[in-house]
Amino acid sequence: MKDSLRQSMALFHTWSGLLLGWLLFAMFATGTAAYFQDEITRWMQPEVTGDAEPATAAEGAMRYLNSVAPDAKSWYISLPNSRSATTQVYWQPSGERPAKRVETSALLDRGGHAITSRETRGGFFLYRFHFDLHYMPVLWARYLVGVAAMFMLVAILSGVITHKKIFADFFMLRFGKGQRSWLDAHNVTAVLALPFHLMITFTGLVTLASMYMPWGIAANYAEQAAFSEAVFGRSAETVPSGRHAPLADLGPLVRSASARWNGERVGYISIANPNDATALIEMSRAPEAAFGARGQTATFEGATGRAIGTHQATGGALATESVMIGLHTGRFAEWGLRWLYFLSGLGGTVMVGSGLVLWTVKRRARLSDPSCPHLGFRIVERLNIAAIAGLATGIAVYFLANRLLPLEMVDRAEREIDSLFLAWLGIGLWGILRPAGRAWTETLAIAGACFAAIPLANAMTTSRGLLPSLLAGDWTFVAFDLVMLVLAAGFLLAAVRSAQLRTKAKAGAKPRGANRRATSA
Amino acid sequence: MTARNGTIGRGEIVARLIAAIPANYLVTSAATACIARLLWRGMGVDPANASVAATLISFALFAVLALVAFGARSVVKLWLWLAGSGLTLGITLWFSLSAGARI
Amino acid sequence: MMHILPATVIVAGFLALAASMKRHQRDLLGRLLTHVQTRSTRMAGWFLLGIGWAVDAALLGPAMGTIVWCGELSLGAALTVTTLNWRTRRPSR
Repeated sequence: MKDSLRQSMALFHTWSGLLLGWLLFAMFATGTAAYFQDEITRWMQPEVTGDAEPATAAEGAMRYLNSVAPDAKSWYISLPNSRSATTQVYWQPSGERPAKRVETSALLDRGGHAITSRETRGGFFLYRFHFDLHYMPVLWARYLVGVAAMFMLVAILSGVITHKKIFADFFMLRFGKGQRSWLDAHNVTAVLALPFHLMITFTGLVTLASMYMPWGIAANYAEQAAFSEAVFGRSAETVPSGRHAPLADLGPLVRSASARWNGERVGYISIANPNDATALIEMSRAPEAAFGARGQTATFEGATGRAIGTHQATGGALATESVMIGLHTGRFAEWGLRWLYFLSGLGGTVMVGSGLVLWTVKRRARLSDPSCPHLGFRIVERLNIAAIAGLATGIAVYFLANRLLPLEMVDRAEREIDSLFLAWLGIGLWGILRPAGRAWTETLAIAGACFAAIPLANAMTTSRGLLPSLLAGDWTFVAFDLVMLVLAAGFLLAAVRSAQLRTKAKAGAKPRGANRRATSA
Repeated sequence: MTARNGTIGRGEIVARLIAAIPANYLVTSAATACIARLLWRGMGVDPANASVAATLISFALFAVLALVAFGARSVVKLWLWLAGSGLTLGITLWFSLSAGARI
Repeated sequence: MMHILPATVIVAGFLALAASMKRHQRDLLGRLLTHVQTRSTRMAGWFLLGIGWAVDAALLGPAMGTIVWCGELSLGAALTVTTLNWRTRRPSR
């Protein structure tokens, strides 16, 4: 009975992992990068330096918004946190015509001036891609990502059930043995960070829970809005009176809200009917300071600055949900724990990637005619190349484009993103056109070369290259360039290994009976 | 899970897939709604927390049911259980909703 | 840098656990241990992992301490596996 359960779970594990494995690889890779999204954004905006204080940033944002959209329906300000230096503002113009997001948003420095020098979506794009994907409506993307997350969850659980010697084999990892070493890589990255993988997958589903399972809310509330009001407080939806009243100064309000939260940062400011007598200012805690305290807001009357109240929904389930979301995003983590998050995420990415490759390695051994595999095998093999080498090259090219595209280019931020996908597509095509074994070696080498080029491009086009940053003690820039070099080394090594394995396989395929090295697989 | 001659029938795979995904979602949704109402109307938890608690549980429930759909030995028993629970939960939910309205 | 103390304790714990498994004893220690030694090494390993949790909880509180401890467990296990790999690169294998 136990054996057949393990068998069925093994089959289940293979398919639940494989079917959406390529998407999961992309989600893991970009999600891992997102743990350092603020640092990545800083690297991608080398003209922006220093730190920003929330209250002065809020005042700067207000000056900017008063100059471009003084009678908008609403303003939204995303303040800099302890690791970022810029302020993001959005506004909804009066009148019913929906405008393009690009025309109603801006990125500001701490003085409230729009940053136009090097337009980029920075690390924020990688973070959003991780659940919004790109080139598709975000609603579809989030449903797709949710399905993938559930596939991942059952893949993890079935993987644990099927791995019969999970403790006895705990310390076994040996490199360089063909099929065995891929299985070991998959097992080790999976088992060593198992608590992380389980946590990240489950909490990932929780972050968009009401989209995937709205029935718990629908059972108790006739309207989703009633639930939102109960949890997040009354949203700022008042009809403008038409009477002009200048908005109160935001700086002191930010400080007072922060003081009420024991010095924790304000993260977001939402203003309804700015510069109107009915204006309402709602401030929320910064996510890095809202572990277990999601949804805590402070509201002020816009014209007078009078505090109206705070809102905090309480209760075991809500607190649990807030902690789970906090665990997933990891915004509370200081730099040591943040690196652990990053390394665990990398482990998860390797886990998914090695699983995908393992499938082809295992199947190749079972092929009746290795020189002419069936269609399913060929599809998986090419998709693997596209997913792994393709995304890696794409991300490297995204960073390269940031340094190499002309600064004043129109729609520069979107062009940077397009170059990521163009490179990804290019590698995908290369992987289809070349013979599979060679394609792996070549695409991995291309990925490695692109990553290696990044510190070079950085040094040649900005004043914040690796050496100057080392001398200036600018650890963010140093770390970024070093991580690029480490990734480059990793991919180049992988390219060399794949070439070696190919020669070995060719040598081993000589006529039977000839002297064949006995490889203990 | 394997047939006597060691192979798995295509019909069985389809039956398990339907059990593991759409049927699973229906049963889990009904269970989630029932748990939310049970916590609120039956145990005095405030409705927001009741809803959230039920939703958090639902993901674990769905994952486990998906595993069971492929791990259970008998497909027939699996479907009988799914259909039975779905029916029971649906009827319970209907009664609960008629007895006390939503917010 | 406060992670160093609990992380070291945890790595020691994992090394002890690895040493308590017959298949790793030759690679780690150059010889097989007796039954009693094996058992004490295993107990010492689990004990050290527990001490790691205690240090994290003392430094950061039970909730955050547990979270950080989980991260350090993964790190410690990874370092141990790497060490084992390193120690078994012998042609006689």
